[in-house]
Amino acid sequence: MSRRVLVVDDAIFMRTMISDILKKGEFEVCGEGATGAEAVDQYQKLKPDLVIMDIIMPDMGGIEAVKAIMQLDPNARILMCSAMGQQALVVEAIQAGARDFVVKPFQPSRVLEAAQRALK
Amino acid sequence: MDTAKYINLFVSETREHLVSLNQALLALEKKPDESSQLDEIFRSMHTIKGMAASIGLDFIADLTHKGEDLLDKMRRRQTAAASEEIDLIFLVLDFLEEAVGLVAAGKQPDESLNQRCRELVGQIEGLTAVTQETEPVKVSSNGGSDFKRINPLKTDNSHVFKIRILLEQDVSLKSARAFLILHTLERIGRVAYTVPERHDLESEKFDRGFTIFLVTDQEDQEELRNDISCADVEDIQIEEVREESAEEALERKTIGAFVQLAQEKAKDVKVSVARLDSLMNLVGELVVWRERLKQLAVQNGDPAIQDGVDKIAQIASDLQQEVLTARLVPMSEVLDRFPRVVRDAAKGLGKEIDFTVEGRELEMDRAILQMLSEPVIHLLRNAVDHGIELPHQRKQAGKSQVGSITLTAQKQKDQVLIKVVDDGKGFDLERIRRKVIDNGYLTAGRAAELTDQQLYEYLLLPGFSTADKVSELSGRGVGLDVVKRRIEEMGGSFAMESRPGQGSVFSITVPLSLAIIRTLLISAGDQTYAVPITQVKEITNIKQKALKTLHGKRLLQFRNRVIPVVRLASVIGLSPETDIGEGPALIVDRQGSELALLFDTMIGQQEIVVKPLSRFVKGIKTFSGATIGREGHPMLILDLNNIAI
Repeated sequence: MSRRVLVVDDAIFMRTMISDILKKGEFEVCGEGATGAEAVDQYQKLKPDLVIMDIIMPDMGGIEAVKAIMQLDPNARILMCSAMGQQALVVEAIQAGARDFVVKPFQPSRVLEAAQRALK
Repeated sequence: MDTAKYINLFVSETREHLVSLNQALLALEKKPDESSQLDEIFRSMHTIKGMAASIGLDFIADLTHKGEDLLDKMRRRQTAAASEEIDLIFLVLDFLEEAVGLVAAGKQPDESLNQRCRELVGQIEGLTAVTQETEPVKVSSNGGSDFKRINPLKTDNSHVFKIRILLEQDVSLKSARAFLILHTLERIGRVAYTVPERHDLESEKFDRGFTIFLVTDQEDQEELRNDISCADVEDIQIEEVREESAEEALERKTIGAFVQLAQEKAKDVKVSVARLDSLMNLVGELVVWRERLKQLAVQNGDPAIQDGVDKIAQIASDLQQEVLTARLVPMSEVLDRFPRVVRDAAKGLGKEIDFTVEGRELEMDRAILQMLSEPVIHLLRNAVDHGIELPHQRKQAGKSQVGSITLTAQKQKDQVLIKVVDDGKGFDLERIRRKVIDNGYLTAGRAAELTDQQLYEYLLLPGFSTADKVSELSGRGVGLDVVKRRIEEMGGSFAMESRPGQGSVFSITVPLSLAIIRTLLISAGDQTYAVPITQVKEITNIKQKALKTLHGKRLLQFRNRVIPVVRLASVIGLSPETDIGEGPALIVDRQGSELALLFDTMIGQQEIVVKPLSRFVKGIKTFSGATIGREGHPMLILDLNNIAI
């Protein structure tokens, strides 16, 4: 049974790339979002198994979105995407409840592994 | 590990820490509510612990670990330090000093030492016991038996796991990764400590691997592995720990103490004193041959050779200066131990003493400073024991209840003048005079004629002491005579002065640097002798009519003063004593008194390297040492202080 993933990133390029990677594994991309606000909105509607989300986005950043989603569903599984040099933000996201993080540029295998582990 | 190297480092570092510990503790004793001192004491204690544990000196590590517990408790409590606590820490410092001495001598602790260590540990436990149970366990640092810190966390159902994480190569955001893992583990149990320390993990000061000690109720290691697993992790090893293994302890401690030590000390290189000594000796030889070469160049007359010799002579002087400077250490290295000595002595006798030290920053030769330590300690103990009166006696005498002892060090040309001044009762001159008579040195009549200064001289005779009882402090068979002898062996001089009821002053003068001194060369017959130039006040020509005889002694009438006079030839046994005659003479200073020394010819000035006399001729008081003269012949140095008049 494939798992349903919500992919949130303000760049279409990144969303496409993440979706392509996920489709190679046993994942179904059930929805996409470009902002934190959209992520919260989509989460409520879709109830995905996993959220893969960028940290820095317009209209509610990733960290705010993690907090909001965790309030909706304390068991939400969220995997953060981060660029190098965002150490402090990653730590903040973890404190907010994110399960794991992957660092850009992505290695497909690491993204898949992280996604699988986050769902355990 | 190169154990010998680490032991030397340990010994020297620990001694430095002990000095600052003593200072800080004394300061704390004066102001028990000043917590900044506690922090410093704690840090020093902690560093010693880390070092001791790293080289397997477990008894020291355990004791300092307990010491930390006590200090930590004092810090947290935020109330003034109790005197029993301070006293106990003083005892710990004493013990450490002794233990370090043992380590330095390459000895193993014997049973009595171990026993005392256990007693101290027990005493500390007694003071810290009350709060021990409720204290939270700290995220640990290096050193010590950290398993013991885990223990209080551990309940019957809990397990201690050692979790070793290896990240994949080229991982970004390593510290966030470490944080994530720690964050996860903290939901499962309690992280007792990490290697490297947590703070280093958070600032990315690690390579790929780190280790976490976790206390948890979870039993299943596979489940634990699943919980931890996340992106970027190459390997996770989990094992249950019952007691920290020696190998891990070593790993942890090595990372801790010595990396830190190496970083701290990178700016300075430690050179052994033995190496400095041999460098000094070589420079000494160089100086001797420089003088000889200079003379040969003058005889040769070739300006090119003279020019070259001058250059080499200049370089030799610079080199000599550099080596001498390298040997200099601030007096604080020795002086800073003294407040403790005075405090202990005063406390033992129930006296109140305000002790001040001046001149800590003065630099002097390491060897001289070390040799000075013992005589000065003796003078200080003397001042506490025999000088300063008990509080009620001082009150009766109309003095402040608190006595004062001052130690000053002061540079005077190429010498250091050290004074120990107390405002105690001074010498009991009448008692000394009685003792001179009772011991059969002089008849009552002659003794009555003695001046104060002459009476003091008797105090310097071996075995002559005014103390009726041997006291615990200063009466251990070492008297002022020994102090005087020690100082003179160093090429220095010792003097004292006293006013009944007002106090005493003891003065020590020693050369700033050892071994090389400027001298005047004078001859008698065909022999040349060296006289330290610092003691020469004047060179004059003596006429027969200025000479007088009194009580069979020859005296010189010189500028309204009367000075004893001797001829060098008779001092060394070349001519009969009565034959003074006329001629050139040195007026020399002998610790406050003067002497005129007639000689045959003035040869000149020379810097010489003092070589101690062999022990077979040490008993000859006339000479203080020997050197190599310009022609390469041995030459003796006159000991002006000890020439018999």
